[in-house]
Amino acid sequence: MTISKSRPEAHGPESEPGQPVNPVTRQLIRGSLRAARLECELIIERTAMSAFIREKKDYTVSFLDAGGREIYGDTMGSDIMGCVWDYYPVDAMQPGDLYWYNDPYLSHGSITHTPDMVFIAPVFFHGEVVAYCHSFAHFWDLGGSRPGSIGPANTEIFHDGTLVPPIKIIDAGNLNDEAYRIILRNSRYPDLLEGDSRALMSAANRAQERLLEMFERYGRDTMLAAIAEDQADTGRLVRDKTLEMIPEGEYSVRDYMDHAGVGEQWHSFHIKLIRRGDEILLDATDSDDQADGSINFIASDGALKAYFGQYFHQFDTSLLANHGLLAGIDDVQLREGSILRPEWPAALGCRAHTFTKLKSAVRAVVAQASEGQVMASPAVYVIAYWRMKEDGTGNWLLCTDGIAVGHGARPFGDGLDAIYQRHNENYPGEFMEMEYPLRLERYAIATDSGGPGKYRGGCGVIRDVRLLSAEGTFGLRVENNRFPAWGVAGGKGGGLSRVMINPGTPEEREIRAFSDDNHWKRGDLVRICTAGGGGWGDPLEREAGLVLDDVKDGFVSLPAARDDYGVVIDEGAMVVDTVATDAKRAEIRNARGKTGLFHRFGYFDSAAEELEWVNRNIPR
Amino acid sequence: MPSYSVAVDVGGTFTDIVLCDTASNSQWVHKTPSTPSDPSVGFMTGLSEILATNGVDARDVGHIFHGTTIATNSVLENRGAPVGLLVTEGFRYVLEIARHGTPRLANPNSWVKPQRPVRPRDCLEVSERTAFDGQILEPLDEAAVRRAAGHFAREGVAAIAVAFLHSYANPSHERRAREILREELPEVAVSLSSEVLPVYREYERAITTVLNAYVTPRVSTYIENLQSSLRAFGSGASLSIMKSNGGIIGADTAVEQPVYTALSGPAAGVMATLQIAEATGVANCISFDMGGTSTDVSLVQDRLPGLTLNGRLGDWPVQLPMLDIATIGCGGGSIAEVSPYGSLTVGPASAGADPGPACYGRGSHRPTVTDANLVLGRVSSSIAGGQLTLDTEAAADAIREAVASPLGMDVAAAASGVLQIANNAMVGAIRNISVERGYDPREFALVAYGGAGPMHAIEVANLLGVTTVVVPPHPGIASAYGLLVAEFKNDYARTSLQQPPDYDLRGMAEIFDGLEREGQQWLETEGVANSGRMLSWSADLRYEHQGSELTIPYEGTRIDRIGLEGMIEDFHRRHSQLYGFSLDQSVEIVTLRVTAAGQLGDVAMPTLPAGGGDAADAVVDERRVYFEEIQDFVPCPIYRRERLSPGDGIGGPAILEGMDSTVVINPGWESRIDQYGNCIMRAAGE
Repeated sequence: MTISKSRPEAHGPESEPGQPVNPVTRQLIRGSLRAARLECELIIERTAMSAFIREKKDYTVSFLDAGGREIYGDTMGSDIMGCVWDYYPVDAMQPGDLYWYNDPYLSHGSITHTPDMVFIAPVFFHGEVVAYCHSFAHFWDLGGSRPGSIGPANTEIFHDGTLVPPIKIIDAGNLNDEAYRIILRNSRYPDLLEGDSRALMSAANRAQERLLEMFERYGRDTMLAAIAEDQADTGRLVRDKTLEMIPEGEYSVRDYMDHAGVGEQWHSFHIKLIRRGDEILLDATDSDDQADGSINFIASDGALKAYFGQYFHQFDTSLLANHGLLAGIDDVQLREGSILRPEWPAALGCRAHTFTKLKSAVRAVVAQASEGQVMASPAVYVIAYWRMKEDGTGNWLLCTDGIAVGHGARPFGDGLDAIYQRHNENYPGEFMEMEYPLRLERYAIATDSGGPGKYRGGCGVIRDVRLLSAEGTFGLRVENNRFPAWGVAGGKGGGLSRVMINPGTPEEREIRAFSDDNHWKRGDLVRICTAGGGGWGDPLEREAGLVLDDVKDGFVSLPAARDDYGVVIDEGAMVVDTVATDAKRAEIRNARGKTGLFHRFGYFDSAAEELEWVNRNIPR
Repeated sequence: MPSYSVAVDVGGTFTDIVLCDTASNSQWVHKTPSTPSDPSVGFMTGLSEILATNGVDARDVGHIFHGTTIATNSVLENRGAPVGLLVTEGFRYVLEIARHGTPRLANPNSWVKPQRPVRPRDCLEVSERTAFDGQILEPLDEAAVRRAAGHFAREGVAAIAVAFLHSYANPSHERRAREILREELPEVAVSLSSEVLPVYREYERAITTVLNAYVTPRVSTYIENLQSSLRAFGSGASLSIMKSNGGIIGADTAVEQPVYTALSGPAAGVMATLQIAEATGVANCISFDMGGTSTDVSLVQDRLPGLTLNGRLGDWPVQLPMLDIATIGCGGGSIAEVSPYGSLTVGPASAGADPGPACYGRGSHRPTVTDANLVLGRVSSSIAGGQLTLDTEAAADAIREAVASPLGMDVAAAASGVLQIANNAMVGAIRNISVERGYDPREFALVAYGGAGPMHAIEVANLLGVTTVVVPPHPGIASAYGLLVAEFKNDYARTSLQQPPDYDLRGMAEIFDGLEREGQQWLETEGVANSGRMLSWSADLRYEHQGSELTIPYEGTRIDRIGLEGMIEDFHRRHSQLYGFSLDQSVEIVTLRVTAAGQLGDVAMPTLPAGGGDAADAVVDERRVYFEEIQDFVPCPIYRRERLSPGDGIGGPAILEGMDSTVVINPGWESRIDQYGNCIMRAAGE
C-alpha cells in the first residue's frame, strides 16, 4: 500500500508576520478583499458566454499569497500554484503574465476534473511577486468523447476532454496566440470557449489590479502581516472549534456510490477521524480501489482538511475563508490507487458523486460527536446532457441541464426542497424551448422524496423533457438510485431517484439513472425524478399540522403521512384525526424498536454496522 | 388655472412635502410624522398643513405627485392579500422550485428558503400550451379554469395571478382565462403575466405577476381612500404615483400594475439627483443616500439614470425596468461589534429608530455609526433644531465597552475605525455598481443626501478618488423634490425571439407599432399633450447561446435593415465597453421595448439671492472634531446652513448644521454655496 504524501497542500514560503496590524486596517483589508472578489466574479457572470457559467454560476475568484496559500476565496484547500511553479519558477515570472491549466493529474487534484479551468495572474509589487489571483469556472466543452466532454460512460481521462497543462497563455501582456488557437480548435463550440476564457482572463487581470491597489494603499509589510494574521485567525477558529466539538476517539464514516457509470458494482469511500490528545488525523486509506468509470475523485490533503474547516468556519463568518480552514486536521492519509487517489489515466468527470458524499461525511463525523446536531445528507445534484440533431442543419446541439435535488434536514428545520447545489441556477423552461428542439412538459416537486423526520428532508423534483427533433441521445448523471441520502438523529433516509422514458405509455421503460448514449427519437419523453435529502429527528415527533400542510401542498402523500409520520388525515375534511394519529404513532413506535443515530435502509449507529448490512443485501 | 403642484413622499418616519408655485417657481417644504397604519392620514395632514401655512387654497393645486411604500411594505412585511395562481399544466411548483438557487454566499447549513406569497395548494394547473413563437399547441381547458375559480372562491383569495408558459408571445389564453375568472368571480382582481411582464423566463414572470396580484387590493384601497379624502378636502388635483423606473403614472394606472411602484421612494431620490446634477452642470454623478438602516447608491451617466431589469423586492426578483439602485446594509443605526475572533464589523444588524443608537438613551447600549459620529464631534449633541438631545457619554461608553476595550484601542481611534469600516463598505458597493455598468467612479461626482449621507460623503469620495461632492439644500427631503421634477414614463415590452440571418423585419415592426400604440394611448389618458410626448424604442440583444441580454436603444421609430444593423453595431460596442470584449458572432434579438414619456412642463430649482460672500456670519459655534487624516481632534467652526448664501465659500475643516442633516467638510476640501443653495465641495487642487 502506498500512502500518498506527494503534494499535501500549498507549500511555498509563508507570508511574513510583522508588527501586529491595527484591527481597523485589518477590517478594511478584509472588506476590500470581499468587494474585489465580488467585482471580479461579476465580470465573469456578466461576460462569460456559456449558460453553464451565466445561468448555473459555476465560477469563483480567489486570492493567494506568495506561497500559494489562500488569502480569501473558494479554492477549498487546493494547491493551485504548485504545478505552475513546476514549469514557471517565480524568478521566471513577469508582470502581465497569465497562466492557464485544467490538468487534474499534473496539479495533483488541485482541480478535480477537466472542464474546470484555472487562470492565474501573479501580482507584482515593486518587482516582487507578493500574491496571485485566480479565476476559475466550469467550461462548456473542450474535447472529450461527447459534446460536453465529461460523461458517465468515460473510462479514461482522455475521454473527459483535452488536457491543458500549466501554460503561459499571456506572456508579459502578449496573448500566446498559437497555444490559444490549438485549444480553441479542440472544442466543439469554440465561440463559447473563447468567450468564457476571455471572461476568466479579464477577471484574473482585474483581481490582480485590485490587489495591487491594496498593496499600494496599505504598504507591503502591512498587507503581508494582515494576510498572515487573517490566516492565523481563521486557523485558530477552525482548530478551537474542532477540538471543542470533537472529543478524543475515533469516528468512522463510509458512504456508497451507486456504480461507476460502467459495470454494476457499487463503490465506497471510508474516512476515519482519529483524535488522540490534541492531535487529529484523517485516515482515508480504507476506501475502495479506484473505479473503472468516471466517479474517481482526486482528493488532496488540503481539500479534505478544508471540508472540515468549512464546516467550522460557520461559527464566525466575519473571518475570511482562507488557508486557515486547513488548521483543524494535522495529517491526512490517502492511498494511491484508491477511489480518492486514482492512478493516471483514470476518468474523473463525474467525481461530484463522490465528493458531494465526502462533504456530507464531515457532518457525519460531527454527528457522532454531537448526538446528531448536524444537517442530514443531501442528494447528489443531477445533470442531464440532452444532445439532439437539429432538423434542417443537421448540427448536433447540446443542452447541459442541471437539475435540483432535495437537501438534508437541519436540527432546527426542514431541508431545502429543489436546490441544485448552493448558488447554481436552472435553465428556465422558456429558455430551453427557445434555444433547443425540446419541450419541458412538467417541472414539479417529487412527492415523498424528502426523508421523513421531525424536520423533513428536502424534496427532489420531477422533470419531463420531450424531444422535438428527429433524433438525439442523452446522458444522465443521476445518483442516489440505489443508495439514498442518510437521515440523522432519528430522521430517515431520503427517497431514491428514478428515470423513465415514455411513462404511462406502452413504450414505458426504466432508464439506467447514471448512463450515457441513450437514444431517443422525435416525440419521446424522458422523466427524471430526483432524490430527496435525509430527515432529521424522529418523524413521529413531527408536528401533525406540518404534516397536514405538506400533504395539502403535495410534498407528502396521504399514505406516507400515515405510514412514515403516523399522522392520520381525514381525507374529506382534510384535517388531522388526532385520536387515530396518537394510536398510529404508538403502534409504529412499538413495532419499530429503538431508532439509531443514522438511517438509510434502516437505522444504524456505526459505519461497520451499515457495511455489514450493505454487503449482505446489495452484493457488488 | 390651478398653478400649484405638491409632492408628498411618505417615508417610514416622516412624510415630506414640497409645495411649488409653478408660475413663480417658488417652493416651500414641510415635514410631518408618518402614520404607518394608514399613510393617507399623514399625507392629508401634511398637505393641509403646508397649504394652510402658505395660505394656498386646495382648489389651486393642479397636480399632486406621490411617492409611496405601500406596495413595498406589503411585500417586505408579508402583508399582501391571499392570492391564487393559475399556471400551465405541469408547472404548479414554478414558485416553489424557482431557479434552484440559494444566495451566492448563503451557508447551506443555516439558510432558510423564504415562504412564497402563494402556497402550492393555491397554485392550480390548467391544460393549455403556447409555443415560444406564439403558436397554440393545445387549447385552453375552459372548464378547468372554471373549476379553479371554484377553488379560489372557497379559499377566499382576493386576487388571482395567471402565468401561462410563453404567454408573452401570445396572450390569448391568459386573456380568455381572465374573462372566465371575471364571470365566476367578479370581485377578484386578476393580474396577467402577459400584461405585467410579457418577457420570457417563467419563474421571474410568474413571481412578478403574483407580487402584483398580492399588493393590488391594498394599493387600490389606499389610492381610493386618498382620492376620496382629496375630494372631501375640496381638491380636484390629479394624483400621480412615482414608479420604480423614475417616471410617474396616473393613480388609475398604478392601481392596475401596483408592482411597478415598488421602488417609489428611492427612485424619487435619484430623480432629485438628476435635477441637482442638471442645475450644477455635473453630467456624471453617483447618488449617495445614507439613512438610518441602509444606504442607496445609484449611477447617473450623461444625465441619464441607470436602469436595470434585475431588480429585487425583498427575496424576489422583479424583472421590470427599475432604476439601478444598490442598497448596502449600512446606515447611521448600523451596529459595530467585535466577533469572537477579534474582527470588528459594522452592520448589517441595525438599532433602527427604536431603540436606536446608544446616544438616544432609549435602552440600547450597542454602539452604532451615529454614536461614532457623535463621539468624534462630527454631529452636534442637539439635533433636529434642538428637538432631540443626544447623550455623548452613553455613546462613548458603548464604543469603549464593545469596541475600544476588546481591541485595546482608545475610544476616538475606535470610533474613527467604525466610520472607516462603514465607508469602506460603501466604497466596495459603489465600485461594484460602476463595474457592472463599465464605468470608472473617479469620473463621477457624488451627490449626497439622506440623514447621514452629507456626513460621510467626503470620506467616501476620498476613497473612490472622487473630487466633487454636492449636497442639496434640504438633503433630508430630496425624494420629495424628485417627485416634483419627474416626468410621466411607462415601459412596454414583448419577447419575440429573432434569430439571424433572417430577422423578421415586418414582425418586429408590428410589435413595435403595437407597443407604441399602447404607449400613446396611455399618454392620452394621462392628458399629456402631443408636443410633450417622447416615444423611444429599444431591444434586448444577446450573442447566440448567451443567457442574458443587453438593452440597446433603436435609433428612430421605423424598422429597416440599416437601423437594425446600427443597433447590432451598438450592441457589439456596448458589450465591449461593459465586458472588455465583443465577438464576431451572430446576435439574437430577444425582447422589444418601447418607453413612453411625457412632460408636464419644467420645474426648475428655485434660486436664492446672493449674499455678501462672507460666511463668517453663519458661524454659530466652535467645537473639537476628530478627523482621521489628522488622527486627532482639532478646533472646527460650526456653521448654520440656513444662514449661508450663494457665493459663500468655506474651507475644511468645517461643519454645516442644517434642520435635517449635517455636512462635514474635511481638511483639504473647499466648499461653495451655489445659486440654488447647493453646497458644492471640491478636493483642494482640483
